[in-house]
Amino acid sequence: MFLINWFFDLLNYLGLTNKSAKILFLGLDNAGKTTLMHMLKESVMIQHEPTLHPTMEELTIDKIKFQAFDLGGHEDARRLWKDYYTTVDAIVFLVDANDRDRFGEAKKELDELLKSGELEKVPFLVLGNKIDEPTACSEEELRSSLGLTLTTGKDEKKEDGVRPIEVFMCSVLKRMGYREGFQWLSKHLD
Amino acid sequence: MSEFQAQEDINGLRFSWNIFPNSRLDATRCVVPVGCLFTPLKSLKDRKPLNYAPVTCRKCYSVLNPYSVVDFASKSWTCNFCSQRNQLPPGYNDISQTNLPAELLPQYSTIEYKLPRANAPIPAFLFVVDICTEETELANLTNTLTQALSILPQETQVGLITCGTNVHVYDLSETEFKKSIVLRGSKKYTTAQIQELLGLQAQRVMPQNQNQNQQTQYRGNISRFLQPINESEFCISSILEELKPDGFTVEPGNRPLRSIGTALSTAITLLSCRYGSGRVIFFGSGPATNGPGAIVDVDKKKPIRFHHDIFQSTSNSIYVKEAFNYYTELAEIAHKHGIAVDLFSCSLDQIGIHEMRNLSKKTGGLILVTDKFDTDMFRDSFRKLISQAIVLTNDSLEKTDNTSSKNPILLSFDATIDVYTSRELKVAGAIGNCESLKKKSPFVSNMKIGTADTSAWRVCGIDSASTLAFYFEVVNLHNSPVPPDRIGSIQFLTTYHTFSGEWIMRVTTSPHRFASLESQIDNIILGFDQEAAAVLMARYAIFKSDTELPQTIIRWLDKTLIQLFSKFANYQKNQPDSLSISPKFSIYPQFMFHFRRSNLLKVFNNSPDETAFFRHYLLRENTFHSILIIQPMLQSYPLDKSPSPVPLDSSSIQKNVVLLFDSFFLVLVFHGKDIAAWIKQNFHEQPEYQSFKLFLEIPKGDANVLMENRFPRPRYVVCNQGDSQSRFLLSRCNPSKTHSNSQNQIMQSHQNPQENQVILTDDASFQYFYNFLKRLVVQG
Ligand SMILES: Nc1nc2c(ncn2[C@@H]2O[C@H](COP(=O)(O)OP(=O)(O)OP(=O)(O)O)[C@@H](O)[C@H]2O)c(=O)[nH]1
Ligand SMILES: [Mg+2]
Ligand SMILES: [Zn+2]
Repeated sequence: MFLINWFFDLLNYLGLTNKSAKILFLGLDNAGKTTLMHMLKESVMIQHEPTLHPTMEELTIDKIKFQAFDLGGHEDARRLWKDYYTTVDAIVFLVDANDRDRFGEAKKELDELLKSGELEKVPFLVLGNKIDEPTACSEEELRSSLGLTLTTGKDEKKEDGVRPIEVFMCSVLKRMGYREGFQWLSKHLD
Repeated sequence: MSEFQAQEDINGLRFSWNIFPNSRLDATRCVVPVGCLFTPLKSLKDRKPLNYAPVTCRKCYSVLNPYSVVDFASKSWTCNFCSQRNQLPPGYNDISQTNLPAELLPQYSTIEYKLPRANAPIPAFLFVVDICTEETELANLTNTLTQALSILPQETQVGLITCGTNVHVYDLSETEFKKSIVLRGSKKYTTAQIQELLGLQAQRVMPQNQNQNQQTQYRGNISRFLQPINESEFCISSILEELKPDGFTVEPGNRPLRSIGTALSTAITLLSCRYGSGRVIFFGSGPATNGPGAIVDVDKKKPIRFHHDIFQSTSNSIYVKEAFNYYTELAEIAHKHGIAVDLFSCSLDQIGIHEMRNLSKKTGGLILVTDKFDTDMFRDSFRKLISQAIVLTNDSLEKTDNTSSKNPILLSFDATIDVYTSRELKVAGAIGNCESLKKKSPFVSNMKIGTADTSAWRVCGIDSASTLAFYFEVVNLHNSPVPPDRIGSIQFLTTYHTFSGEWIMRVTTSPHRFASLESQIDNIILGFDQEAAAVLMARYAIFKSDTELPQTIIRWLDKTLIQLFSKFANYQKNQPDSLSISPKFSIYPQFMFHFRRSNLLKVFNNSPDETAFFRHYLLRENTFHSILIIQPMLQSYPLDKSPSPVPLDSSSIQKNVVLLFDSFFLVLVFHGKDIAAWIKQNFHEQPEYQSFKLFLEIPKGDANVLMENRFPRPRYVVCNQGDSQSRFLLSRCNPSKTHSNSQNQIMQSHQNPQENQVILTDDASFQYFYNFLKRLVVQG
């Protein structure tokens, strides 16, 4: 038994197992979770319906494999989020940077997640989406609206015992910004 | 498309080709199969069943009809399906050219007979309630069930089974003590074991003679579990009232132990021991995790399978095959005993409808997938199912005239549909919510489409909406085509019993002319019903989706579309702009365009359960509703003009209109930007804008009318342009204006009052799709 464990540890270390990181796409409805998921999967922009049941796709981003779960963001559906917390490796939290009216609501949900014991050590990638819109907010505005003025830092190395969290602005439509976010995230995956 | 409507109104039939190609080869060249959508119990206006038995052919058992050849001199008739000569029964002695019985008059191409059979017992309703849920949700459900008991005819037998870690079958014969028989959820019981546990070893008994009261025949132990409402209402209501969520503690990180497979197998076994038909109605709030039919591990680390898992056979999908087979076997038992199974999934996540779907599909049961029990979608849909029963009993018990053609849906049971074809045709199969009766007959074709190799099918739960698709083969070889003057015919014999137990046979006979694809192509074109054709192709596609990937099916649909245009369009080689086609075909490509991008075929962003739910209704609904599912309806309400239908296109989304969108599953009222702004400023509350208030009420009123007669009740959404919910509309519209083709438009939008909605998509528009089609067609 010991030997086998040791063997798998080694494989893991060498990055040879086929295990993929389990990530959740969370955020209010209309933030762009499904749009991002489809873009990462097919590199194509598609207009989707609001998500009702959760779905999952295997994604490969910069050679890293992810099992990405896309959960509905409307109010009722948020009750389901916690069902997917077990063994999650990272949370990708999307916010519509052009919808200031709902920053408060987004902050409330994000705080709820950050408080959850089950997610205590899980890295959070916060994506401010839709910056192609002329009226979208800046990174500073989003940070202060979400209460995320102190974050891990975009270039910082992994630090033990502290939950990594960082904000990246992006536009799925213009295919920009989110890739940097995922690169940051992959550095903080266990 | 009203020209084919008449045939549907009279006979409940819509054919793809109303004039058939006259040889097998020509039929293949027509690309779209010769077939029809048939609604066996379509409400007939001012018709009541004849009170005498039908005259049947002594060789093939088809029924005397307006297209049979009658020899008045010898009082005999020749069967138009097997050519057998039959003597008319004595009652027909006075028959003459001028004195014909109703069934020989062309206007009675559809006619009903009340069969001289003992009444079937009133059907039983067995409720199977999943109790692994929160207290409030369970209360929402039990309240709805208690109400149902007061609506159902009081003679209806009902029963109750709950499912959690274990399965409880409630004894309703005792009013004092609440007793139930407990079955272990984790165990796979055989039918015999279940019967023994419930004390039902005695097989169900058929009445010895017609006058005997069947009540006494099947009243044995079974009546402990199935009681007429008038004798058990108090008992069952108090059980429902006291029902608590499953008492077993759920380990953290685990799902509750939920034994759906054992519960359903117990329910079906119980009903199958009773003489008579019935419905098992299952109310689920989560996935099966325990015992046979489990679809997922109890450990939450293992997620419920998604489309990705099923397509790629990943480790998440290990339960799928076994569970699917398990429920399919149960479906076959239910089908054999005339039991329909309805599945109500009220949960934010999947519960396994994907695996369980055959239970409803093979029995004519209904499916609903919605978020919770506390929704109109659930309450109203369930109430509709239940109240169909009363409508019918009142109707047939109290009144004799059948003037209630307004009743949208009437619940009937245990229908058998037999198909007969004249010698030019054979039946290739059926696609719909039905199951084969494995009837070998001379009418069965070697060609197979759908549920094939039979000329009879059964639908255990049937109502006036249930619609089956039938596909036919033209038998004649190319060198001996059907002669031009020949009239072929198809007969559908539907035998069923009503809620109150009368056995009825409905006979629908439809005559057919044939034409040559070479010399009479114009006739063939004139007979093309593009709506029926699109639905028959869509059903075929959904049938294939059980075994083929969506991409493969989409490619097949594209190929058939190109072939159809190549055959019927006029064009010069290599000149796309030269292509023209008869208006008979002109909307068909649009149907295919919308079908390809609908969530029937595009499964991204839908779970397998959702997909199964959507597909179930394409296999059930009539042509009109199926077209709605394929290509939703959009109606525009401008401020200054009367409302009118508009194209399902982004250009129809304008800021100064209200739109009403109906995709069968969803009804949406959409306020354009300006309208939404006025509402926000409360104009409609001010007396001087009374007319604006009235204007806003019109689309909502129309939405209510749409939802009133619909099963299941659609999701209802009211939203403003730009809102999160407006995605329901945007995702289905043809994206004629997108972010990539309208850059300038966005810049100028301030000056442009007709500013069109831009859809953020790289998806091809219909215009692009159609041009591409033209190019491929003219290339040959
Ligand atoms: N301008 C702009 N719009 C975007 C962008 N990404 C997404 N959208 C739009 O924003 C909406 C977001 O939709 P979804 O991706 O379906 O949202 P979601 O987060 O999955 O929402 P739920 O499923 O309801 O939880 C869609 O109408 C997209 O077209 C972007 O980068 N820029
Ligand atoms: Mg979504
Ligand atoms: Zn015959």
